Amino acid sequence: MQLTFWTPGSKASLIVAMMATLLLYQTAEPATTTSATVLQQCPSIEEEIVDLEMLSQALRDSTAVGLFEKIKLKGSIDDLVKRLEAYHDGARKFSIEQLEEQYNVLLMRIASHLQNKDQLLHQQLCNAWLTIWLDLEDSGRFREKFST
Amino acid sequence: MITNRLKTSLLLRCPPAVLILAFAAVCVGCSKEKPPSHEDIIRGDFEEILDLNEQKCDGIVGFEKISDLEYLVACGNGESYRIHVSHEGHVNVAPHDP
Repeated sequence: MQLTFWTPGSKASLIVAMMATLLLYQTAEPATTTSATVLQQCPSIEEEIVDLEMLSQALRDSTAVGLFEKIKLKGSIDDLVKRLEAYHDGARKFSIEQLEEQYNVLLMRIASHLQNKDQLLHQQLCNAWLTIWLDLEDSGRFREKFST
Repeated sequence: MITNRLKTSLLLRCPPAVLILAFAAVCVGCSKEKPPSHEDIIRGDFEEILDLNEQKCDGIVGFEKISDLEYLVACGNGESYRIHVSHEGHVNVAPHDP
């Protein structure tokens, strides 16, 4: 007795189905960045922060953060950019997951400074959290932003 | 006698300033700080977050990622804290009972 699904015609369609599955798997969207699943209710704002440079500038101008803290935060942001630059240049001291964690915890630190003190900048930070990371994570976009 | 000659010739060839500079360079090389590890970086940020939220800690001895933007942090004084970000981007710190 011959099983129907082993006929040459069905075998071909099975292969086609498998190839289609593989193709779908390869072209599937990469997993969404984790912070996107958390920061779902950031208040809507008119003036948006779109990159790390804008965030640094806004932090410099904010009265919520003291001078010493501003210098420390600026140093931490610069250090993170250097580590990302090294990563995009091929260094593998830190994995991209570690760098993302460093970015998230640094932004948690910045948010702690701003919340209850600079509402607007805190809301801008909430909205920009994911966007900034997408620029930092992508090698091409990172070079566009930070190439001198 | 030979060693004495060697010492004299070395001192003559290398003026003291050069020797001092060489020694200083070696010292600078030795005292160069080791680059921080991933854990050091995260610990430093958490210490500041706890400080900003007026929570005593005496140095972070460990941290654990619970979920996205949510951590448990263990402190040197025996306390542990849950640090997490709300949907509105607010950083909350609360004592955690293990």
